[in-house]
Amino acid sequence: MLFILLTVIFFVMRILPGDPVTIMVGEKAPPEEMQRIRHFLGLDRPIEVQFYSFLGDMFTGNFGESLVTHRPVILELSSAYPATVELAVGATLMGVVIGIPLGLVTALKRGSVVDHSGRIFTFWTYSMPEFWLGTLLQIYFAVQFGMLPTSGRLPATMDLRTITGLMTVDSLLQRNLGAFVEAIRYLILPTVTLGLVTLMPQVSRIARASMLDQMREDYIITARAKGLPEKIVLYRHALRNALLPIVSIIGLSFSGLLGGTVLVETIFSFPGLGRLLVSGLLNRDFPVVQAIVFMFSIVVVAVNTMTDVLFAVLDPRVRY
Amino acid sequence: MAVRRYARLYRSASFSAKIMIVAGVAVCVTLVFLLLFSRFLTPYDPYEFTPDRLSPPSWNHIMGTDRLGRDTFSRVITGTYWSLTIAFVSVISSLAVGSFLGAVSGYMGGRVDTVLSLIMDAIWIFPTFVLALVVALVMGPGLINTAIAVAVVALPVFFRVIRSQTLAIRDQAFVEAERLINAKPLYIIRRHIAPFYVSSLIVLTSLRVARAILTVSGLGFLGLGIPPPIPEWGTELAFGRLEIASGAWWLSVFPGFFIFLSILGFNVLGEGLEEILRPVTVTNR
Repeated sequence: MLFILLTVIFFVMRILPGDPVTIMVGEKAPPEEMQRIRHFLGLDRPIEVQFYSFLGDMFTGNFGESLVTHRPVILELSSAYPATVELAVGATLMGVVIGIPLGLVTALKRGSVVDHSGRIFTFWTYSMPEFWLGTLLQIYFAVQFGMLPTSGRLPATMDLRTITGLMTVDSLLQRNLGAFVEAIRYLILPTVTLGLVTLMPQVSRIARASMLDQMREDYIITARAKGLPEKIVLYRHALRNALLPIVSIIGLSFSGLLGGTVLVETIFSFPGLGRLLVSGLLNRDFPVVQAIVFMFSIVVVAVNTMTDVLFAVLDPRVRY
Repeated sequence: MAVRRYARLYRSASFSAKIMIVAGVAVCVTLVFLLLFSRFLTPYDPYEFTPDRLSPPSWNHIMGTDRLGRDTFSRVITGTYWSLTIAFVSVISSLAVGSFLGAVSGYMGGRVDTVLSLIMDAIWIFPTFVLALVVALVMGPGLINTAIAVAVVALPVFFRVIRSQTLAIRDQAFVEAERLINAKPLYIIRRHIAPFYVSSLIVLTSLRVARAILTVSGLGFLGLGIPPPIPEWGTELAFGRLEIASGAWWLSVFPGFFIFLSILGFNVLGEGLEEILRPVTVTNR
């Protein structure tokens, strides 16, 4: 699978219009100079040779050098990815923490006002483009000045030494509570936008559906007939079984979540991989784009594998 | 025939499904109406500069004007044409190509199936929006090119649904019988297997149009869709956002609202239809 992925990335990047060398040195550069650079980058070698060296580079983490900043791509990535990790983790938590209870409540109060309003809310957020929700939040909080910051990761005046790159973890490690609070405040809007749009609706819909399915099962009747308290029937028996589809939808939605980071990071000027990808695309910075697309795809594959493993843990019937 | 069958299904639907279908149809019909007649419904020329700059919503300009004095309402209405046309074109093309390949792959099996499934899986593992971004960049800006970018990422969805349905049907006795009298594969697919696709394709198409509108406007928002001055909703929203600091909220609120409303409309319609048509498998992402 990874091999196919790499092959596709390689060839797509090669058929992109626009010669990277021309972009690097400008239209007016002398041909000899361009030839020299092309040779230096290895772009004058036969395409098969380029392909094999590309494969080798990808596996060893050698993503080349950015055509714009001339820094190694791996450095660009390592300074950007913690922001995305924070955002993605926050959004996932947000989706789970709101999504699952919402799904459960709507399932248990089926047909009631709570159920209907919950479902309408889910529809509402499901159809909400993240870039519109983000913009609306920005308009609101720009007016309510000072309540929540609308862009960036930390105030410009605040300087935090980088250890892991995760602002929240770093500030705690340095026992800098002020910075921790600020980091959280800066995270709130992007996380809410991303979590509410990309994960929460899916999770709560699946949670509702699978909870309803479980409640119809015979073992629920048995448990109730034994006189078990309703709480235990719901949380110990039904919820445990209902968790399986929820886990798998979180895995499936993760790809959408990564796509969402691109938009959300752009809106909130959040310096993560998504924003790096957009600037890379607009500048035709092929090595950067290539590396980010590769990383995103790996993460999607990894998350899906993890969900499969988690499935086996949650459901003893599943064996690989 | 078909109409009566659907009417019967609709009558037997639950109350909430009925509401969803009626609401969805209402939104979609309105949007298609705007698409077809956008030219006649705009009170002003959407491209004309006027001295009336950045004026807030009023009776003259119900959605205000932008920095160049262009009427936002006229631009949003004109945007309907662009955003929805791209969404429809892309969904129809991925529907046609994806289902055809899915049917062939499922019916033929063997090496054809292996190769096609592998290609579709390769598309599938990329995060969809990221893939659309890259394809949009490769294709360059423009109506057809954006449509292709959005269509490519939706291919595996149609492919998978149709393939799995074909697999389920192809070994049934009535298909076997056709094969015995030496009917051609394409004839069998068209005549005996395709009717089984209808329910899921209707549902899937509606849900995919919603998704396509989202992707198209997302591309426009990042500057990789339809280039200005064409008032595609996502592009409009991106430019409107630049004016938030100057207090002109109407430039980002209204285009975004139209994106949201049209996505909501097609989603609600799709969900409602899913409830009455009950297709076997619909995976949407």
